[in-house]
Amino acid sequence: MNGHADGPELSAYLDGALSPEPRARVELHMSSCADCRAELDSLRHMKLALSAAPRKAMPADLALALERRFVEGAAAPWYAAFTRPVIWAPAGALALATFAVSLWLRSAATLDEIPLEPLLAAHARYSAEALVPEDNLVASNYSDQLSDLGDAPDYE
Amino acid sequence: MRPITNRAATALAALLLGAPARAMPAADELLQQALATPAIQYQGKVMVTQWYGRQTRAEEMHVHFSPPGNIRREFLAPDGRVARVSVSDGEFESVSRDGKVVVGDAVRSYEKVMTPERERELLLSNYELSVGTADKVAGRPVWLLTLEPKLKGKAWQSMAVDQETKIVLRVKRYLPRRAYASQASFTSFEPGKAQDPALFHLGGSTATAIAASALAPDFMTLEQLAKETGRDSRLPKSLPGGFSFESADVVKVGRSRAAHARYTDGLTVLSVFETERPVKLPKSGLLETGTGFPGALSASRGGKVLKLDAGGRHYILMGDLSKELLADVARALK
Repeated sequence: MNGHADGPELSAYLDGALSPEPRARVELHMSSCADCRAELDSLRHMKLALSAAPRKAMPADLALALERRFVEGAAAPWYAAFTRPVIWAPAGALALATFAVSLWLRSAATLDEIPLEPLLAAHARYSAEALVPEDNLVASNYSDQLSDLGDAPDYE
Repeated sequence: MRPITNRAATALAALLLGAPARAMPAADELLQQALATPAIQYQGKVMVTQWYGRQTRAEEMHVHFSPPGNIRREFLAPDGRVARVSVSDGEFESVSRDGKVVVGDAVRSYEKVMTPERERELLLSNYELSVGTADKVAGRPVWLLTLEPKLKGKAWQSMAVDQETKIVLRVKRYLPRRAYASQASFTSFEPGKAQDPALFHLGGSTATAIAASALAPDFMTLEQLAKETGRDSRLPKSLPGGFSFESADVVKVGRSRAAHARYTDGLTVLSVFETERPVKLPKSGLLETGTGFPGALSASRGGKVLKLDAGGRHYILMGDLSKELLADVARALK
């Protein structure tokens, strides 16, 4: 697989939901694609952040208040609904989901651009062949693809 | 008493010094010998160094070679353990790392579109060759073959060629007064050392083998490239700086495809990619985006990268050239 792994595929890979063949393909691709590795890290962090978010149990007094309301039929003030976690918990979840989706869409837009790494690998694979004796080539082309390209530093 | 001739004096000196003195070869002849596939087995240690801006990257490897084209490279981690292994028989290549083996086609020079004669002709028209002596490399006497570009802005290349075996013991590419250079140099060299055939065994019995034949480039003409992509190619047969079209292939990137045309001046390779969608350049390493410059220029380990949009098409130029020369090439594509 030389192609870019798309979002659902990366997500499935992260969840361990891919069968062995596509999984091997994704792993091979990621060994040479910094973009997909970064995307995978981003997904992993998002997943961890979501799973690590605090999940509060329903407060005991809320359960008691609900029970009392049914039993006693007591009328609550008009603003009481806005103070109840039962309103704000779904709203918070919705906001969090919206934020996550916006992050995802942003990264998807970035993915629409072609990453540079496969082109670098194609250039390196060919150019290393040019007039350099093969037996003592600067570096193996394949290994170039498998090794990290590193950060681009100041050049001049 | 008869006077001692120069040849006799040389022979006498060689006898006294214990090593045969060799006459300095012609540059062209030495280049031919250096580029020929060695006919002997050897092994050695090679240090690969890349100067890259303010960074330097070094990697050590063990090399084993056996004719006609079997080569094994063991890349070492800083602590000396083998980090990855590359084995090639000239036709196929396998790389093992992290318990996995990738097997694919090796780059085959004989599949090139440009003939070796034409490539050599280009080299001689674009570079001045000279031969000199240099300090020993890996303890062995060498000839220093220097390829100096006739045009400013291209990399120089020097090869330290073993005087006895004509095997290249050190290759250095550099741009004078620029921060980028790469060098591969033997630190130890044992010619004639018998090599165990098992060293050149492709693949591994216990590791996971993954076929990666798509990683090998094709060698297409511009006409074949246009047929393959289904688009009229605007790529020319020659470019400024003495570059001529050598061959092309198609690089698959996800659902997109990039036409990859390779140009050469006999030594330096310039890649021109024509892509369906824009290419994302890394944020770091950006060198030039200002007005008057035809595109965005960035740096990478493979040389400079110039991103250019022209005539509704997206181009990426890649090569080890000065930015001025790369800009001239880009203007020719506009």
